[in-house]
Formats: sequence, structure tokens, C-alpha cells
Amino acid sequence: MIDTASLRAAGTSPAAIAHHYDLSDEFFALWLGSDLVYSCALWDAVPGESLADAQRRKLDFFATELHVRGGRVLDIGCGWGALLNHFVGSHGVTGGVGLTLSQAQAAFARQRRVPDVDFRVESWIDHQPDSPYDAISCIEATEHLASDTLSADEKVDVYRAFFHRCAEWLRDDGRLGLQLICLDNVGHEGSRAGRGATSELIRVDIFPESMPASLSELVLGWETAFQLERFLDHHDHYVRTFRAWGLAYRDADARARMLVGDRTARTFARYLAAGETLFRLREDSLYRVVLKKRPRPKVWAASLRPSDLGASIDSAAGRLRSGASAPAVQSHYDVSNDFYGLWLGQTMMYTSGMWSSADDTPADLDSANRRKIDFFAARVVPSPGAVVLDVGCGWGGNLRRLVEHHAVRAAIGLTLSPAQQQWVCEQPIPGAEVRLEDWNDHDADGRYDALLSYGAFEHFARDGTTRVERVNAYRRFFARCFEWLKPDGRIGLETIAHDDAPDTASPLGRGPLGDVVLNIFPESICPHLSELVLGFEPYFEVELLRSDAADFARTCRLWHLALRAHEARAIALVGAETVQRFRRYLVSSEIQFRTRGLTNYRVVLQRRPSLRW
Amino acid sequence: MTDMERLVQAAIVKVCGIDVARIDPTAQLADIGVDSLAAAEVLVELEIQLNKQLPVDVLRQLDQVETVRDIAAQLDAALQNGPSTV
Repeated sequence: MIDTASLRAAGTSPAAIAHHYDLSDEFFALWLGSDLVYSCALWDAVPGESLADAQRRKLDFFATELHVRGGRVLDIGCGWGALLNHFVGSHGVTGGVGLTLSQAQAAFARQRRVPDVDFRVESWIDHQPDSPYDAISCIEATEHLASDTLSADEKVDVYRAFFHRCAEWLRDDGRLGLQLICLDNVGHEGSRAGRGATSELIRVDIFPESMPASLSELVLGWETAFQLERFLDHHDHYVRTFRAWGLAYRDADARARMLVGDRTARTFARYLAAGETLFRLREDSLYRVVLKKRPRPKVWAASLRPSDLGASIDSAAGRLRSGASAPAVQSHYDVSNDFYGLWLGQTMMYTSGMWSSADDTPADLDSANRRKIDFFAARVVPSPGAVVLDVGCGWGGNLRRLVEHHAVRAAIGLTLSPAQQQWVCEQPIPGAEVRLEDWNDHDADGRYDALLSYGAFEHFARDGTTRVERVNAYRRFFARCFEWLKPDGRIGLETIAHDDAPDTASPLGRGPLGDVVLNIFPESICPHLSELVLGFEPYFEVELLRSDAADFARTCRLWHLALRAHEARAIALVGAETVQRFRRYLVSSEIQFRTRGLTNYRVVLQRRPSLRW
Repeated sequence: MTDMERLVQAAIVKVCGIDVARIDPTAQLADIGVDSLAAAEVLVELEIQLNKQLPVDVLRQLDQVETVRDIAAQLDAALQNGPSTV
């Protein structure tokens, strides 16, 4: 673990903080508004909302997501104290601590006289809580944890230390709410040099010694101690926020120049325009993230550093076939179409259903499967007349619905299972073709509008591989996706992933519950979140990321119940031993989803304008 | 044996195919061949029969469930306040 002196040297210095935040409270209030909330607002879908209302909605969002009522809250990077003031005044927070390095902010916050809240000029590095917190918020402060001189590895070390401390300070099951400015279409190296005048303005004149993270660096930082509860990509909300700040600033121009002088006033005007542009181009993104402390820290065989990964991927190397072999895949999916028909239901979908509201019938798996397909189609498939690829198309349930209900013009499905291909041949889908083909062998430059892949990613890297090998395997897949898709093409991806479960290569990585699943899917392995993000990050922007373990737990239970109901027929089809193996794997999977050893990530990705290397 | 202990015993017989005579309420599950996977199967079997959902903490501690009596006690507690299952 990194030592205190190195942490202090890594972050933004108090002098650099003062350079920005101690400028003049009145100056900031001119354009932030009187409550001085200096971070991205959460806007209503309807235009015309006031900035103050949108800022209040953001604070309400975090209060709700962090379940703060009746609890004590630590706000790291508390600014002028608006968040804690609102949490105590409107959300039943009983007290807490706000940390800032800015003397001016702390002085202003104290004047609010928030009951039982202590605003301190103190670094998180020096913080020692009197008692555990129920929740921690950190709203756009991670940008000050690591300065722009650090390498990606050094940044990750700092983030790991930060999240480790946050976990120590939280009670069991406590939550951490983050609002993060992240590097998006511009990567770590690109952000440090040669990004032009806009970047220079922000790095040198506005926020010296500060640096946004790449999402993967933060995930590597939090993944040991925290599981993901909520993730929102809100870069468009920052476009609106910067616009609102810019408009207010324009109205207050004369007063601004009087307060800070012509030169500084001019610099800020340029910064507000630049900020809007950066988010519009998605050079930077804004993510709202809610994390929950894991019951026990996740155990790794070895820690992963960004520099362990190669500098680039030769997409032709995708033909290395780093995933499960065709015979291994067939050993599972070719058991018997009639057997799977007994318990998968009408849709023959062998992935998680989706239940989104209390009105959705819990035991109705067919509707839940259709709801999932429709959810992805609405976000990924441009209508009408799209050309779509389904990687790991199973028995064609997704293709059938895309063609019949989402006006898809042409669809190609890839599978390695002859039994699945035969099933679709027997019940043809107009406009859709299912090929017995490995994705490594698929050639289709720039042809597809959209790509869907549910429950196939688990077969793209092999059991027994290192984390670096897995990430490189995933990168080869996403490199191919980048080639296959049209410029604005999107991916809808669903994959089971290790959540609280330790790295399978670690001493604690296996047990009877894990083994039964690994044995029924030979040569296959689920990713950890960091590996998934590191895989897509060079090629794709993330638009949606959900962790939906409960949906898959319920799906496993419904499969299990259906298999029980048809047990005699199942045994007649495949034998008692196979039925027993499947039953045990379904029970184990349900339990692992319920205990969050595993989760089910749903991801929507958009192709980057160009590769991020 | 309590009614719940008898239910648990029957579930172990059904799931694991173990002779009922070997399943004493205080017998160590590990000694009679019930590992954490089998314990999971037994709990899910009982959840289905009773239409109740066990708290997730019980499922997280499958390695620490030692006897039939332990499982029965957790089910009794869940029956008091657990929500019904799917």
C-alpha cells in the first residue's frame, strides 16, 4: 500500500486548491447560484428547468441512493457545504463531517451553522473518524486525488488507497456516492500532452495539479472493497450545466471583472465554454456512481496494473481463439434441444429475464425475456431497417423478436452449437441467418448498425487464464466489434461476472458452489468488472451499465422450478445424472447471484469516433 | 425432533440421497457428506416447499451451517419475518 507522504505528493496541493477555490465566494456565487453547488446538476428531461432546481435534484438523488436518513455522512470535497446542509435540512441526516482543502469554502460552510456537522480544512489522507459513517459522498473530488504528472499505475495506487480508506470508514453495508469526471474519448496519455488549448487552459490555468481518471482506473481502485449498485452516464447533463453557468456568467460579466480582474474573468469565461465543449465531444464524461461496501474485501491472486497490459491490440490476433473451444461449448449447448425446451420456456432464451417494476409478474419468465430484448433494442437498435449481429445467438429467441417487433431488416446470428443452429433452421426467421461460426472468423467491415451479445462473453476467455490474458482476450473481441460496426454503432452486452467472489486463481477462488458452475461450462470464465471495462475502454464509450443480480437469481429459480416440474421427461431425454448436474448448477447459480458472489452486468456501448490509444 | 428438523431431514434425504438413519439433528453435516453446495440445495428445496425466502446472510454463511438443527433454527427465524419467494 502506498505511504502517506506519496499520497500527499500525488494529489492537488493546498496551494493549487486555493488558486482556484479561494478566488472569491461572491465571484463563484455570480454563476453557480447562491447555494454554491459547484458540480454537474441533474436535469429534468423537460427543457427550461432552473439551475437551482436541477442542483437540488442532484442532491436529492444522492440522498435517496445513499439511504442517508437517520445516518452520519462524510462528504469528501465538501465545497461550500451545500450537500451536507441539504442532507441535514431535508433528508434526516443526523450529522457528519465535510472535508475541503479550501479555507474560503470551509469558512463559508461553517457560517451555514448546520447542526452536528463539522466542516474541516483537512485532507482525506489525514482524516480519522470518531465513529463509522453510514454513507460517504465524494462529488467531483476524485479529480484532485492524483495530479497530471502521475502515470496510470501511480494513479491506480492512489485510487486503491482512497477507496480502501473509504471502506474502513463505513459501517457494514455502507454506501459511497461518487460523481466522477472521467477521461472518455481521450485517454491517459492523450490527456497529458498535445490536447490543445482547451486542455491546457483547464490543466494549467483553472485546475492545476489535477487530473480526471479513466473509468477503468477508478474501477481498479474500488473493486476490492466495493460492489457496484448504480451507474449513470450523464455527460449530457454537464453540457447543460456548463451552458447554464456560462449564461449566468455572461449576465454577471461586469461584476465578475470587478471581483477578480479582467484577466481572470476572461480565463473563466473561456473555461466555461471549454467545459461545455469537452463534454459535448465526450472527451470527458460525467458518471454518477453508487457503490456498496462488500461484506469482505475481494481476494485477488495478483493485483492488476494498467502497465501490465499491452499498448495496443492487433485485431487480427483475434483469431488466436483465446475463448472456449467449439467442443467445450457444444458439450453444454448440444445436450438436447428438447431438454432445454422443457425449462427455458417459449422464448428459448438461455439468459436472464428482466423485471423492471412491481407490476411485472414475478413468475412470468417469457415476458421477462421479451422485456430484456425490448430494453436493449430500444437503446441499441436504430429503427427501422437496421442490420444486426447477435454473437452467441443461442436458439434465436433474440433474433426472432428483433425481426418481428423491432423492424430489423437483416440479422446474423453466430453460434458454435450445431443443435442451436439446427433449431433455428427448423423454425426459420425471415431476414435472419444463423451461422455455425466463431466470432474470430467473422468478417464484416463496417456493416452492422448494432451488435447484441447476451451470455456469450463468459466463453470469450478461458478458465485458468491470468487477468492480463483475460483483458487482452476481451480487447481482441471489442477490437473486432469496432471493425464490424458502423461509425455510430452500438453494442448491447449482457454478461455474468464475478462480484464479491474472489479471483478464481486466488487460494480462495474455488469451492463446491463455484466448481459446479465452472465444470458445467468447461473452458469458460466470467470477468470481473475491471476486466470488462479495460476490455471495451479503448474502443467504446459506456452509455449504460447496470448490475442486475436479482433478475438472474429469479431466472435461475424459474428454470429450476420448470426443470422440477418436468423431471421425469428430462430424465428420459438426457438421463438422471445430467438432470442432477443441471439442477445443482441452477441452485448454485441462484445462490451466488443472491449473495452477490456473481452479478449480471447489462451494458450499452457506443463506438468511439476513433480508437483511444 | 421438531417439525422443522423433520422437514430439513426429509429435504436432505431427497436432495442428497442420504439414509435417513444417518441424519441426526446434531450430526455434523460435513460428516454425512453435505457440503456447501448440498446445503444450498437443501435450503432452496425448503424455500420452495415453504414458499419463503431466507435472508441473504444465511446464504452467505453456508460454510458455517454445521447441523440439521442449525438449518432448522434459521428457517424458523425466516418463517417469522421473511418475505415469500417468487
